[in-house]
Amino acid sequence: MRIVIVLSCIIVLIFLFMTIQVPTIDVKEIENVINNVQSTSEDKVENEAALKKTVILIVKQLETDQQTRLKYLVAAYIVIWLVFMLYLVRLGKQQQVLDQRLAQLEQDPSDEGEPVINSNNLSEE
Amino acid sequence: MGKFIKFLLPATAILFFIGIYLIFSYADVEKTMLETQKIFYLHVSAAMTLYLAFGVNFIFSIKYLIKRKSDDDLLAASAAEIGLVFCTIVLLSGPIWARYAWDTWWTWEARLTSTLVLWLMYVGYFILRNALTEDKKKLYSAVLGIIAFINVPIVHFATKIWETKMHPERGSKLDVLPAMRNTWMIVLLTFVILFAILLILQYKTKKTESRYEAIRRQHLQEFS
Repeated sequence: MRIVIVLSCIIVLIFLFMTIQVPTIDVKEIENVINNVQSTSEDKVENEAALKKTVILIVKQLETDQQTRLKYLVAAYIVIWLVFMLYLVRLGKQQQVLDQRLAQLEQDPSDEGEPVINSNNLSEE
Repeated sequence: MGKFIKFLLPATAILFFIGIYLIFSYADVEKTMLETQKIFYLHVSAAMTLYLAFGVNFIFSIKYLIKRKSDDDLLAASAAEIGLVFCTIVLLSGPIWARYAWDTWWTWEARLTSTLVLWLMYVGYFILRNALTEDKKKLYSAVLGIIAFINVPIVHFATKIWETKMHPERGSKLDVLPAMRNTWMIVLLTFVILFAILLILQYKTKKTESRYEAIRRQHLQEFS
């Protein structure tokens, strides 16, 4: 049970970590695209340096916004995963306590000889 | 029953990972909410499953009041417990989306408030069960289960009843593409199967627990 929970947590965390790795666009890549557009376009922008600076800022802003949105998404999924895991742990503990109680009942010292009840009798009617 | 769970458990795990894959790779990014809309695949599915869980609680509560069979009470309590887990998921995942979309973790909007009231009612259901004696708890919790279920349609139609515009409307009014609908159906199916598994497990545990208590009481009587 514990192994399953730990393994599933690791798998989900790795998966979610991979999803928030937003591919970033390199500054040189942006500059190359601007140069290409400028060379082919009929309406050339005179202040090329200002144009490059503005486009780079816009791209970076869009990347940051996307990363923020993905962080919220991942946070929500981790919370959901944790609630399920906590509930499963609780179920496991409940079962453990019940097993201990049954074992106690079977080995009750007040009883002489025969066990009070066989745990197999409890599971199904 | 055991074989049924052995088949369902791996099926659910596979479906869950398929669901996650579809959410991140197959489903389109919604135009207004962008990536944060993807929270809804689990959030809405959990909400639908909690309706189902509390519905099962409602049906078995009525059945208990008619037939007075302990098994019905155990099934009702098991369904309510799992419903409470799904309700907790809805209440925790919603504010994370709201923080981005509304710039606040919580607002006293109709659906949010009615969902919180629903959660509190079922927490009360378990407080009541723990506080009462064996014979009384079954009867009173069945009555409370029926009363608490009245809140489910209120939660569902809250945005229409109070005409609030904040909470996003269900699929029909959003720009839902087939890929988004298919993804949501897979996630909903996963949650419904998960609910069935948890219900069986919880019911079996509760039944063993109640039998243990009965035998222990009998044993104590014999020795006293």
